[in-house]
Amino acid sequence: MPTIQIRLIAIEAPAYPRASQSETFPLDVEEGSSVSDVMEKLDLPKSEAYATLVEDMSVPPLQRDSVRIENNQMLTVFSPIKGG
Amino acid sequence: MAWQGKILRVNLSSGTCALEDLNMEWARSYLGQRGLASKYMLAESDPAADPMSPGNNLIFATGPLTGTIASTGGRYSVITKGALTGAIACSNSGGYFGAELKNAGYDMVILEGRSETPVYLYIDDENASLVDASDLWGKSVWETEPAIRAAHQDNNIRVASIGRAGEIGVRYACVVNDLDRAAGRSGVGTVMGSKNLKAIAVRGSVGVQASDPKAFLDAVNQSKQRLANSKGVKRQTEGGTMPMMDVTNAYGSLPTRNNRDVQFENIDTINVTAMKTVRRSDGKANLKTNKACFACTIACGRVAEMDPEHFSLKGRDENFPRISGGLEYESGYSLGPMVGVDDIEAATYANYVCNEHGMDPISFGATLSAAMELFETGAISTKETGGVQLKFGSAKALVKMVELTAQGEGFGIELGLGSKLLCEKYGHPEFSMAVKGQEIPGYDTRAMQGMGLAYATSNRGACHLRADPYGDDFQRVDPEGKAGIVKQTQDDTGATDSAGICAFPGFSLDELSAMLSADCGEDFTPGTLSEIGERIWNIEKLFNLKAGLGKSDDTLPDRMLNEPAKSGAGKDQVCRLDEMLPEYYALRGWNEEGVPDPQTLKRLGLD
Repeated sequence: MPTIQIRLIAIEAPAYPRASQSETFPLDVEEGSSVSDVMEKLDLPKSEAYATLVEDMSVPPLQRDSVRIENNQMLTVFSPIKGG
Repeated sequence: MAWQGKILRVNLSSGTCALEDLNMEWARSYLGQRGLASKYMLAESDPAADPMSPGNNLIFATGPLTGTIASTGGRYSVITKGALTGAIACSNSGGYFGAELKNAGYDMVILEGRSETPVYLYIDDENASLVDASDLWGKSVWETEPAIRAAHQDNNIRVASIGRAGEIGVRYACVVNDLDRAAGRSGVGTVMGSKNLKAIAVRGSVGVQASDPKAFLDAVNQSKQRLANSKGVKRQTEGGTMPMMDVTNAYGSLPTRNNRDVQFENIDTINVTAMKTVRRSDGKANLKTNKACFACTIACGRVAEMDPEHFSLKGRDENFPRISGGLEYESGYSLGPMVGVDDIEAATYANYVCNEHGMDPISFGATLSAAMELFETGAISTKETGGVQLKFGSAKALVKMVELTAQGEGFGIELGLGSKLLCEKYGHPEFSMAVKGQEIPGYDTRAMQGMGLAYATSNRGACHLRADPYGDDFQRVDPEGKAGIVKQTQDDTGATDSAGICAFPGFSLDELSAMLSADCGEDFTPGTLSEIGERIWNIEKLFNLKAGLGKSDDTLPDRMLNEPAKSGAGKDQVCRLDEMLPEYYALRGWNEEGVPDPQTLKRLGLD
């Protein structure tokens, strides 16, 4: 089973309450998991908007079902917040 | 109704203050603040005038919602021709000054000419006069505010003032109110200083009245309820704007070391987590608490408490406050990663000095970063810097240079020019990360292409608040479709910036039109507000064209157009402005040179 790294920024993941800002944590996922699969596993509230990166590559919402995450890759999920 | 219907016109040359009626037709077409004052600027002030000359007017303007109970309804703007840019300038501030000015009975204060000696404008409702400020000249913002309150024996006076930076002509001097809220950008404080105007002090008791109080209360309460339930607002309350530091760093759009890099390796030392981490020295964290501006239900403002053991405080007298306005994202980026500094206390201190003496921390930090690149490439040496090793990452250089710039001493005089003039002087204009002479905010445009177009086309120079491409930019790098997003959000932002409220709540045009209609007794709709915003954008453009700016000014620093990003979502890419700009001009109804077509002007009532 592949293990990927998860980094959550400026969002809350109820299933992982200890995941603090910017800190990464490992997550075991099924072989061939897509970005959407992992986000579902993280149980992120579906009412929120998210932006996602696999390694350095930006993954738009419509591509999250098709982009797969490989072993040891990092998925970053963050809120597309506005600046100030 | 929401407008007071009054302007205070002050001629600093003759020393006169006169009350006059507001042009209500213009008010309905431009709302207030940015839009209405830009209309007055184009009508009354010569766009070709030197920004520092008496012919350049300076306007303090409120909006229809300023001073009301609408959430964040305390905003005011300072509008003039910018000393840093030579373009139309509009800098927006919160705090309590704007609401006080509106409550004194004024929509705007128009300042003309130049006083021969230092003065400040004192307003007590309908009574306005110019007061000798000789004893205040040379004092900091932090000294000026209490001194004026003491002189009038009234602790409720609100003050907007300049510090040393505005007096000595630092090109990016601010107007600061309530000690650490600022109309920060484009050198509006420099213009104020050139007029020998130290401050505006105001006490207002006239009040503000909505046209339909019941409907206004309903609309305001509805929007406040939405804000109260918003997770985004909760995040803003807890973290202010600083969570953006981790976002841009992860995405690869955090300007680092003068945009040579787009991610900062020591991000953990200067992000929101670092602000909340308890220090060993005194058992306290950099972040002390948060605070709100007038009528705000978010309270994103940061209050910092500096480490008493930090080296930057060693040379200051014991009265220097360790507790003051803390780092926001923009000051955090510019005084941190942009100069390669990973010392949050040094960045906080530099931010304090910017507030104390009235300097824009974005432009200061980005000018210092340009100077650091000049130093590291050998274009300047310790001979120019007065012996200071001006290297990226040097917290000591940051602290020394912010003090010198604020006081106009040594190499600080050169840093006070801004990055454009500084880099031109030393033969490397390409090191200036500026648009129309204004240093870029905290977003590198190679990963955020929409922001690139927003910077390039912003009428006041590089700005992160004149459009809202964030959501799309953080989802995809491809520039396709971004011209439409930038154009539409620029128009919408034009209306928001002119209404008297802050951009931070993200009021929809539905919410805004409901509040404004009840407040003003007009029938505003999202469509009419968007058109007002478009009209504002075009009138600013007309001012700039008359000031001599053109298509060649709608561009980006050479680095962003020609040097691919080294990492992040925009790795190996440059900003593809050449693909977006023609589409943007077409969407605006402008010709290929970026000049509004006659039919566009006619449609907007600008012919």
